[in-house]
Amino acid sequence: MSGLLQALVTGLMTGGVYALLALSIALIFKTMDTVNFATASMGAFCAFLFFQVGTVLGLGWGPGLLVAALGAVALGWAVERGIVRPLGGGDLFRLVLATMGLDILLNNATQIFFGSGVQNINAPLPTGAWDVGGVTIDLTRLVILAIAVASTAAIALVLRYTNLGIGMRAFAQDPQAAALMGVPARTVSRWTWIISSLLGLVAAIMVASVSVLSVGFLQGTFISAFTAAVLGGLSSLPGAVAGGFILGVLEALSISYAPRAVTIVLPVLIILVVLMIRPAGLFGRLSAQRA
Amino acid sequence: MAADPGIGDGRSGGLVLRGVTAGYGRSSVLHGIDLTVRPGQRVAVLGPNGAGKTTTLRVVSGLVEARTGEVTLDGGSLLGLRPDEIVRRGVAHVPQGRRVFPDFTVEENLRTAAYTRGGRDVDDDIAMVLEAFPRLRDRFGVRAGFLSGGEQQMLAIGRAVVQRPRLVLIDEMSLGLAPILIKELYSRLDVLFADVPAVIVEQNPSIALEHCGWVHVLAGGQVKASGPASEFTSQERLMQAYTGAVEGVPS
Repeated sequence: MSGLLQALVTGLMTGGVYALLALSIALIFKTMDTVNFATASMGAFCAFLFFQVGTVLGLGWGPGLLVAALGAVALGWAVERGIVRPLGGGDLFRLVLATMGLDILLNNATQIFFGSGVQNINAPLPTGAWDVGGVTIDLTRLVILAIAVASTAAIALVLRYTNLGIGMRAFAQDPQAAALMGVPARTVSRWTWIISSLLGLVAAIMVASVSVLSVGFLQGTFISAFTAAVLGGLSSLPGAVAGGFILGVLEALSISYAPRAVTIVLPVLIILVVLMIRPAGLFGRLSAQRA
Repeated sequence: MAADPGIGDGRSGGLVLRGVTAGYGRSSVLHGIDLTVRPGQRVAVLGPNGAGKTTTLRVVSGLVEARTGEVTLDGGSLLGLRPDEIVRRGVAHVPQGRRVFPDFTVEENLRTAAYTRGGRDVDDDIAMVLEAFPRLRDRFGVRAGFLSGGEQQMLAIGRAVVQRPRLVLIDEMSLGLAPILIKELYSRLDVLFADVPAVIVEQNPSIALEHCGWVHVLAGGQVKASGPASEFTSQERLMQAYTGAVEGVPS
């Protein structure tokens, strides 16, 4: 019983990171109709910035975070301006291929700028563990879960209550009708990529703080997050978040109770099953009305 | 071409289209549209299917780029502007098929229409819309995707009210609606946009003629006839204009 509970707790905490990165993926998909396959390398590049400024240059985590956040904003802006806008319009595969190319480019850039070593970022997060009725709660992972939940809530508030957020949601439903309400497509596109990039940075720092920082270190998490987004429904933001938590728990359960081989293929298995049985995901809808 | 006062003076107020050509891809739809809407005037654009009525509106609101010609609103050119910039110039376009945001509630749809002023200062406008369309008050918190066609059309018009336009374009408002509802919608237009110049595209000429002062008949991407609505009330006269048998109105 406590084994099951432990798997559940561990799963929820891992799921927080998946949820955040899945939100980053779904945000792009919902508004821009494409999948950003450079999500991981963008976030990782900015996590390296955090490490470089905070630890290597010794300026501390505050300035490190600031520079990394500015880097994420700049990167999101540059990708939108330099790749998405010139290529945009109509063809999903052009953008998918372009982001795949960007992924390769950024991974190499990371290696050139920051080296191929394995780093420990020593994030200023509490360590230790609580024991609650036989269930171990890792403090670092608990704080990470809290940050993931807070970031998700912040995005939800922006989308719900700010003028920009309302414009983004309107654009996601009907870009042309949104334009007729005065919502500029460029503004929506720009901010979608910037926000998505920032979410990627937060996820990257969180993953690095419980594992290590190295070139391509976020790729595995990206595959899980992409799976989570497909599971919850790529077109549904709450679905993507829920998918993240569900996947985290499924993974933890399979680690405890299933052969190792199952755990390894779990994401692929889930994508396959979801696409066969419920292609729109658990919470998504296949759009019927967009012309 | 029709004797239409206002044409020939680009600096006059209202909306002026001169020699506008436009199309989609390789096909061209508009072959030199000349059309004027003076301040306060409500103009019906009639014509058969494929005449270019919708495309004309889409050129004005920037959804379709004009290939040649001029489009000015109160003397300022609208050509080359993006749709959201044209909205900021004061053009509200109620598109064909309503195009309400299906996942937004009635309230959210109306608030979105105030985007250009930061979503602020919108309560009075919403109150005005709800007074004109009490059915929307009952459906205020309901997602627009669940509304009936008539309610969606009310909402689409309501969004245009919230936009506080200097010019309103309305495309095929009556499509698929019951006659009694169509009458109601047109009578509300008279109140909601009493002083706002309007271009109303209609497949159903009789109702448009009742509520518009001036008529342009489009066929084959050109204005085939123009004149006061009173001159088009006979079916025969209208059919002549539709088929292009008459080029203009004797005045």
